[in-house]
Amino acid sequence: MIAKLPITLLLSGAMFTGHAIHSSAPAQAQEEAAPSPKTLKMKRSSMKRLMKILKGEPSIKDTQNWALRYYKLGTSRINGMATKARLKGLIPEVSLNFTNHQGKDFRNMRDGLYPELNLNGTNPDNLKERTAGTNSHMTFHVGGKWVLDRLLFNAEALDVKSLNSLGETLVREVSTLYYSRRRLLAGIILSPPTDPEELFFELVRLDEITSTLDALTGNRYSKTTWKWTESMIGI
Amino acid sequence: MLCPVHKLALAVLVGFAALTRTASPVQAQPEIVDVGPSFPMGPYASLYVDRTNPARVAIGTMDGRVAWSSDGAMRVSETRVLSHRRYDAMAIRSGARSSLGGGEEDSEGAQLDPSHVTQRPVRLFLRTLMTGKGVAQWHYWMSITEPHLDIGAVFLPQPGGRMMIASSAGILVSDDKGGSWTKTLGSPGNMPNEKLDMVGLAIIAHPANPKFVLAATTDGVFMSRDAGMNFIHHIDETITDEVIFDFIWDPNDEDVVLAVGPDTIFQSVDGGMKFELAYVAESEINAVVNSDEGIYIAATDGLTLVGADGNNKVLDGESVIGVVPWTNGEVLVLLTDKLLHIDLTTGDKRILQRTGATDPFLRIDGSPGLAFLLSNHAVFRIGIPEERVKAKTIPVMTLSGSAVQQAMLDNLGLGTPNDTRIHPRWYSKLLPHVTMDFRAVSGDVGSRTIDYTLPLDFRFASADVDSNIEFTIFAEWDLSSLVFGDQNVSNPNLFIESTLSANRDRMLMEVRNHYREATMLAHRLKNPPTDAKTALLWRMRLEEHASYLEFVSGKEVVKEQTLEPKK
Repeated sequence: MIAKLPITLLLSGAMFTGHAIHSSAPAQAQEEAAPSPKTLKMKRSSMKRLMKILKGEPSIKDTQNWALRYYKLGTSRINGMATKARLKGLIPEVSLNFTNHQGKDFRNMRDGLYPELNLNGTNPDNLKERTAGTNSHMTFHVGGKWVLDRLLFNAEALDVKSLNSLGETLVREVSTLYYSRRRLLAGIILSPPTDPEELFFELVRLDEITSTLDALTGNRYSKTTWKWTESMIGI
Repeated sequence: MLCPVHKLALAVLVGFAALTRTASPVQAQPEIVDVGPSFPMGPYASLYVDRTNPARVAIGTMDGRVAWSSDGAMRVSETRVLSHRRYDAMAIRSGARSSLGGGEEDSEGAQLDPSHVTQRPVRLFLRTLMTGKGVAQWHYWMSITEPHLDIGAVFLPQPGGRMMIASSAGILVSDDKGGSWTKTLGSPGNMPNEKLDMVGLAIIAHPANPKFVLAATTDGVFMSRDAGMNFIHHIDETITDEVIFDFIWDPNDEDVVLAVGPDTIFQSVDGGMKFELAYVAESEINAVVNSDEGIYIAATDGLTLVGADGNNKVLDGESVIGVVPWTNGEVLVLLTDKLLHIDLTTGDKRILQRTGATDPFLRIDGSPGLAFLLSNHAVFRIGIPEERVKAKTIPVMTLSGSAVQQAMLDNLGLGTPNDTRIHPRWYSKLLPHVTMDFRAVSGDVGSRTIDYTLPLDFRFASADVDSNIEFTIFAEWDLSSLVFGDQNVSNPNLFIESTLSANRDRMLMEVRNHYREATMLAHRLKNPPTDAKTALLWRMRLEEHASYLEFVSGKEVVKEQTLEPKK
């Protein structure tokens, strides 16, 4: 076992002198937290603007529903699929069968007592008798099979339910993106970065999330979302 | 309405209370504010606070999200780290997976010639790339979603630098805005092979030279000289094979860096090039912090302050997971279930914050005056007070937690945990399989017989016609399924049920987490912060939880209630 070592190296020099200069950070923050009336007015105006923007944007419920509809994972659709899986018990497996049979048969008979029987010259093979027969049959068959126990339980209904998990994952992803975008939007409107480049990248991030939500909702999301203008970054 | 006399009395009382609060030592305790709504939702996995400027904070979540702030969580940027399911040339070049990048051993542990063992897979990889074929193996789950990364450590560089994360898939480096990420060290794919692939544990860059990066992985310590784009094993044999969980760079001396292992601390005094063993703990080390008083070592057996006058046990017998030296000889000590405020001069201990088993504390980091505390699902800021007002309308939970869970099970048809469906229902076998057959047959038979002994055209001629119609009903009962209904476990049903069961458990956990967070926020929103943006973020987070709960349960879970003014 390694013995406990003296920690002389750790105690060397300026390693423990750094924090005092930073302990004033909260105090600064508190000073900043007391805004002037002008700042307050600007904050209120920004908040009003944000609220106006948010009101014009799609709601989370709409966005979730669009995504579920686009991916065909709506709860009602999945529940409907489960019900239909049971109703399959009422629908039979149908079989149709049509058979047409055509047949011919011949019988040639010789007589050993009278081998020469070609009396009229039309019996070259010296037959005693010749019988020619035809037969034809047509069969039409319709069958139906009802697996009635599926009315009470069909394992497919369980299988369908596992789709709900995909729906839930989709909704979670859409909700997370939706509110990520809203937080970003709130930051851009209420406390935008002072550096235009930083602001530009925040706006690009906003566009990125918007386009992802668009892709998840079949391009429905961005139809009514707020769009930034070049004037925001000073162009 | 208050009359002037009451107003005066109230003002005196408030003034007196304010004076008492200022004079009382209890008031000196740091204020804790939940800033979780500023960040993406948890569960959280990692926390980074710049100790030279604790307003710079970054967190990583268990589903691959990274969020960072430069102003104490007032404005937060966030991004998603995606690691695509493909062989990554950078990772192959780094030699992370021995079967692809070299470093295979023979049965006796000797290194095989890398030029030999890497030929086949690398050639295959390059060949598939050249021919334009997909290089990933196909599995059914690949069509579902990109896998999530568990972000074990985040490093937030100085502005303009590249962020770095240590994750379950290795080390990933961002662009200078945190928008896109490249895996530069780790497994080529994203589904780690436990025996071969490395997991990232810690990452840090030199404070003055951000191109020099140290990365700790399950395969040892790596170093990079180009800002994390290429890694090599650390050149110092003392540390190269060590499992390191954290690096701490001295903010005041760029040559001093600590590497914290399970029970050891290594130190470098030459900027991370050479390390020496500096401390061996008697138990597992959870966190190490340097301060004016000395080095705090948080370990499973307590908190030790190692100073010039030797070791001083600040807290004994409890597993300490983090520590932040506070102002005036005080220290914040984090246990899994509570945050303690300890006055080192008097030895007084106070509990600042408690948490339950479902949301344990994970990490604390910061500097005197400002720190951040991370739990599984919340981020708390310690040090900057927050004013609250009384709300006029408050959100109210309309359903209990168990009612929401039950509603979710009913709405999504996932069954209850006691209800397994690995066999068909026996009673369904009471209904038979019914077969109905309808058959119509028509036919004719004719024959003509010529007797050559008679001079006649024919001797016999016959023609028979027949037609039949048949109708049959069969009913079949599978008696074995009826009698032994519960014992006819079918393989497909087993698979279906195990999938449903896993989904159900996961979703129930999600619902519980969302419900708990929503309840806490609804409670807090009775007294929302005065800062409009923070209050808005709290509302948004509540909406986020509510929208999820309402989707899964199909019911209204949160509603607004207007408070009646007190008469």
